[in-house]
Amino acid sequence: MRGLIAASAYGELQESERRALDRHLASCAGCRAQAEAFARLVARVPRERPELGIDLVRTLRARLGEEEARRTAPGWRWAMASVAAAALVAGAYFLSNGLPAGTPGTPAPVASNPSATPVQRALDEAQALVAAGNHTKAYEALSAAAVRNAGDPRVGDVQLRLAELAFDNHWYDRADAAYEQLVVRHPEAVDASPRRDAIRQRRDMLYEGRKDRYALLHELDRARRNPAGAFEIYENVVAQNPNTGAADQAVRELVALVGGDRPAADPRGMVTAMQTARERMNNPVAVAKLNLEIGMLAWRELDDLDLAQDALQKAAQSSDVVLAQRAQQSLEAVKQERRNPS
Amino acid sequence: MKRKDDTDRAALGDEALALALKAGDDTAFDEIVRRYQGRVYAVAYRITVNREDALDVAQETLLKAYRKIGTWQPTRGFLPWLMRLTTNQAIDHLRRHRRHRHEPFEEALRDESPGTQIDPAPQETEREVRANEIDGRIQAALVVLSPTQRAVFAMRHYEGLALADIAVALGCTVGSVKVHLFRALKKLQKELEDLQ
Repeated sequence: MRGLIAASAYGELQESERRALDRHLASCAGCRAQAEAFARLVARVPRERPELGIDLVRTLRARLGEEEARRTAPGWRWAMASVAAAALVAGAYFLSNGLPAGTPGTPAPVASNPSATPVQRALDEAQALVAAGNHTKAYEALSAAAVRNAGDPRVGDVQLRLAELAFDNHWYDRADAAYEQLVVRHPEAVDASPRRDAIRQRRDMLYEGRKDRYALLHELDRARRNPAGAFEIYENVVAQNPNTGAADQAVRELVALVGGDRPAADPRGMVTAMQTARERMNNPVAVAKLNLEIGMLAWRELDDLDLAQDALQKAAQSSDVVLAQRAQQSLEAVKQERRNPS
Repeated sequence: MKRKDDTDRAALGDEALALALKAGDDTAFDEIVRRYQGRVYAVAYRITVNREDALDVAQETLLKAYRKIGTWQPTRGFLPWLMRLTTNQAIDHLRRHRRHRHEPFEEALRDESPGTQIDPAPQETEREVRANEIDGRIQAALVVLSPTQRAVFAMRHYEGLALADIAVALGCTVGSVKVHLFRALKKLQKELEDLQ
């Protein structure tokens, strides 16, 4: 009968099924209420499809072309490419640790290597320009290299560096486009990068930021430039947009501000820093967000179910409905785990 | 390879287009991508609850359709077969890339925070804000469903596939689809009761 009730919400009953269901509903108030609730739910939930926003034809054709090229390339080319690839990944790792623009101690330019591939030369050139403080020229050089070497299997490393350079320089519209190209056209470069999680986080923030010209990202920049007022700025970002990647980033930076370097590798230290920050906060939504993060850390990293349950319970009372819902879901999972420890 | 004019291909029905690709008309793939990329992405998005994952899944699914078109049987319809590839790819992706239990939602609520420079018509803004709120709630609620329940709900509610076609897509009976749908609706009803 449950299946018939669900199917009826979408008008998908055969005539005989409809008669059987109607007979049942005539005498079962519980099922009747359920059927009505489903009908209301189906009517209430919009049917709009999320927008893809891009055309995949060219991207997929390019990937099919690359696969074909790999299949038909002579073996020796791929042996050389493998050696160069190892060097590129090491170089990209170093570059993609993303020293902020103008940071003292930026390493000296790499000496040019006559046997380097065009992609490696482009990365070396960009590194030298960044070291000299010329980020705009570095960006232009990488953009040109990405176009010139479009067929090179390692051009994804150029695209990755381009995206990171744009982001580190707060050119968020350019970074948005560059990361989009990176993920769509060069997923292998993302997979190979040790900063894969950071790439995801940045993409989330950039995507969210399209609606308001990356206002939250600029707020985070303002906090970094203004250490004395940073706490309040971070709190404001979290309070106004608790369910965004920017809020998650604000929490991470708040933890670093309050806790110093220690929390980065120490979940217990992070929880302590979050608790300290929470006590200092005035905004109840920001407090709820920190309670949610404390609860998740306590659950996932510390196995401290008492702390997790307490924090998530508080977060589940938040006036922000989405945040409260997320906290409630996790709270139920924690309670379930307490009942059935594996 | 035989080539067809773009106009000809656009005029082909879904099954005819797939048959053309199956018969070796490589260029039919472009029209297949144009026609189905939105639907494949949309279903992938509702299952993975993440835009980037959904983009990955959409690409991999369409490439898989290209490579495996030889295994498609015309008797079963092209869309259910494509939805099967989408669902399998999305669920595999979730297993391989298990992330945090709660994930940032791409459809962030629009707000009036300082620094916002866009100034649309007030009525439009209010409508968009409400639409974004509802979508955010739905995306949060989908997390409670199992991947299969999300797939059934996405294909029925958003894509309008018949339950029989969903059964083909999932490789199960229509009865199983109905049970998955019941469980999905039941959980969503609980999560979204204040929206009703």
